Amino acid sequence: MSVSTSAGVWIASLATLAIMSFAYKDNPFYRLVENLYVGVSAGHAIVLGWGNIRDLGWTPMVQKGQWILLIPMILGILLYARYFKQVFWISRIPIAFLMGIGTGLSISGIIGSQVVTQAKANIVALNNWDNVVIVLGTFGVLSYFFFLLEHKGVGGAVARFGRYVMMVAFGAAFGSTVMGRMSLFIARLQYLLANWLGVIK
Amino acid sequence: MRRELSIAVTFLTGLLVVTAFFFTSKPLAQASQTIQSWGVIVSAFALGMASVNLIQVHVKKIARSKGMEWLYSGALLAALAGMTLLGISKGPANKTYTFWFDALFTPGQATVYAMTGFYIASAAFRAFRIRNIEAAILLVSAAFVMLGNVSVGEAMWKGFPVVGKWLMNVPNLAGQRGMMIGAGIGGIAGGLRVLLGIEKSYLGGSGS
Amino acid sequence: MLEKLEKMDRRLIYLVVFLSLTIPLIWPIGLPVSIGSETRSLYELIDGLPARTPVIVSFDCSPGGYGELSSGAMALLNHMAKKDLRCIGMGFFDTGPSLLEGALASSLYKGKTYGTDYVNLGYLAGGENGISAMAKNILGSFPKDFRGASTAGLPVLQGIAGVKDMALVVTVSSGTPGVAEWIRQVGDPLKVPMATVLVAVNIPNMTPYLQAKQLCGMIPSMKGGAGYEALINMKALGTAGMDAQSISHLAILFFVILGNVIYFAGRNKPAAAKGGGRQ
Repeated sequence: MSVSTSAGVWIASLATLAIMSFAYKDNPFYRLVENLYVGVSAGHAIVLGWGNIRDLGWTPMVQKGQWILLIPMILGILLYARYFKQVFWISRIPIAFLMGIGTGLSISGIIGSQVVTQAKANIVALNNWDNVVIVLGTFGVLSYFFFLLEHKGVGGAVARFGRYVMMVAFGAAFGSTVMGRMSLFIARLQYLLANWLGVIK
Repeated sequence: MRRELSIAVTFLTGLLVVTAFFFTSKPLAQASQTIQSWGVIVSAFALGMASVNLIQVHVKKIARSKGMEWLYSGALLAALAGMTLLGISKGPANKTYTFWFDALFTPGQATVYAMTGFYIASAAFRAFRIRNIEAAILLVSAAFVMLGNVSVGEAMWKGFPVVGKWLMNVPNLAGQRGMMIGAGIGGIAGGLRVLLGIEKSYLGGSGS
Repeated sequence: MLEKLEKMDRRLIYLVVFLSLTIPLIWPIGLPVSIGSETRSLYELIDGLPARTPVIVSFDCSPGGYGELSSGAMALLNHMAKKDLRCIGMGFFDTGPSLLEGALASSLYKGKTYGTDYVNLGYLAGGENGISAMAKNILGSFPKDFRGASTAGLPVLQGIAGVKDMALVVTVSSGTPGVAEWIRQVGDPLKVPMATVLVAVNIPNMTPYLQAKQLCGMIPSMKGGAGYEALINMKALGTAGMDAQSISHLAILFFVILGNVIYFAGRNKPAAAKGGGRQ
C-alpha cells in the first residue's frame, strides 16, 4: 500500500468521500463540496463560452474586419435582456433564432436518419423467426401508439404484442442502467483504491 | 407584434436550414452555413445564463441566511469567480485551472452520478414488484441482460449471454426501432408546429 | 421477520452494494472477460486503417459519465496511437475537451508530437448545430485549439478539407448531443463511418443504428472497455472492474428477488389473518 503524496489526488479523494458521506446522512462536508463543484462547473461553462465568443466572434470582427459578426454578438447579448422586466421581450428574438436553427436541423436530420433509414432497415427477409419478431415487433410498437383506431380485435392483439415488446426493451434498458451505475461507482472506487491509497494497481 | 417578430425569426431561420438541407444550391448552402455559425456564437453567450441564475439565487441566500448557511453559497460564488477569472486570463489548458478542474469538478460530479448506484439498488428492492405480466416480462428481460453482460452470469449458465444477446438484438431492437420511428414522426410534427408558429411555448408566457 | 426486512434501513442496502463492489476490487476473482461483436468490429476497423489516417475523436461527455467511458476511451486512444493514426480531438460538451486533454496525457499519444500526431481542437457551442457547423467547415469552426494556439498550418490537419476526409468519427458520448446527432448531421448525410464509446444506459438505443449499419462499431461502457483492452493486449482498469461488476449485478438481483418474495408473502398474509381458513 503506497498512499499518494499528490495534493490534487488528496483533494479529489476527500471530495469523493464527502459526496459519498451523503449516503449515511446529509452533512456540512457534503454540502460544502457540492457547492464548490457546482461553482467550478458554472465557472468552467463561462470560460469555454467566452473562448468561443472571442475566437469566433470578437477576434474575426476586430482583427479581420468581419463586422457582420456584430449581428450574432448583439443577438447573444440580447439574451440577457430577460433579466430586465421592461425589455424582457427582446430576449425572445435570439431564442427564436436558436430555436429556428435547431428545429430546422432536427427536422431535416430526423426524416433521413431516424424515419426513412430505420424503416428501410426494417425491411428484412422473413426467412427466420428473429426477422419475423423484429418486423412484427416494430409494427406492434407503432400500432400501440396509433390512437385513431380503437385497440380491438386483430389490431388490439398487435398493439398488445407491441406493448410486450416494449416491456422487453424497458427491461433491457433497466439491466443496462444497472450496469452503467455500477460501472460509475467502480470507477470512483478504483480512483480511491488505486490513485489515492495504492491498495490496488 | 413583438411575438410575431420572434415567430417570423424562427420560421425564416428554420426554413433556410431545411431548404439548404434538401436542395443543392450554393447560395442557400452559404446562407445556411453563415446562419449556423452565427448560431454557435449566440449559443456561446447562452452558456453564461446558468451562472447568472446561480449568482442571483446565491446572493439572495447569503443576504437572508441564518447561522452558517452563507458559507455554502459563499463557497459556490468564490469557486465560480475563481475559475472564471483564472480561465479567462490563463486559458482552460492552464496547469492551475486543470488542477482545480480535476480536484473538484471531476470527482464531485463523478461521485454524485456514482451514488445513483446505491439508489437504483434501493429502488429495485422497494418498488420493483411483479404485479402483472408486463412487469414479469420486464424483470425477466432485465435479469437476462444483467447476467448476460457479466462474466459470473456466463459462469453460472452458458445460456445467459446467449439469451441476453438475443433479447438485445431482436425484441429490444424492435421496441427501440418502433419508439425511434414514432418519436421521429412526433419530432417532425412538433418541429413543424414550432416553425409555423402554432407552438409558441418556447417564447415564454402563454403557450399556443 | 419479513416485515423487518421490508422496513430495513436503506443504508444497509447501500452497505451491501458497497461491499459487493469493493471486495472484488481488492481481492479479484479472475473471471474471464467476454468481447462483444460490436467492440470487435470497431477494433478491426481501426486495425485496418493505414498509418497517418485522420480519425475524429469527439469527447461529448461530462465527468459524471466519464467514469464508465474512460477505460474504453483510453483503450481506443492507445490502439490509435499504436497504429500511428492522426487523432483529431474535439468536444461538444463544455467538459469534453478538458477530459480529452487528460486522456491524451495518459495515453500512448503522450510519447508523440502534439500538432503533428494529435490535436485537441477544443469545444464548440451549439450542440447539434455545432456538429453541423463543424461538419461544413472544420478549420473555420476551430481557429484556435484548446491550448490557445492557431490551428492554421498544423501538420496534423494537413490535407483535411472537411469531415469527409476523415476515415472514422468516434464519439465518446454520455448524453446529448451524442450519437443520434452525429449520425443525423455527419454519418448519414456525409457518409462518414461512425462509431461510439457509450454509456450503458444508451446501449439498448443503439441496436437499431447498429443493425441499419449507421454505426459500424461500439465500445459499450466499462464492459466494452475491458473487451477492447483484451483485444489490444493492454489490460487496465476496465478489466480490473469486471469482477466487481459481476458481484454487484448478483447483489441487485438478490434485492429485486427479496423485494418480490416479501411482496408475495405479504399478499397472502391478510387472507390467513382473517381466520376462517382451512385447518
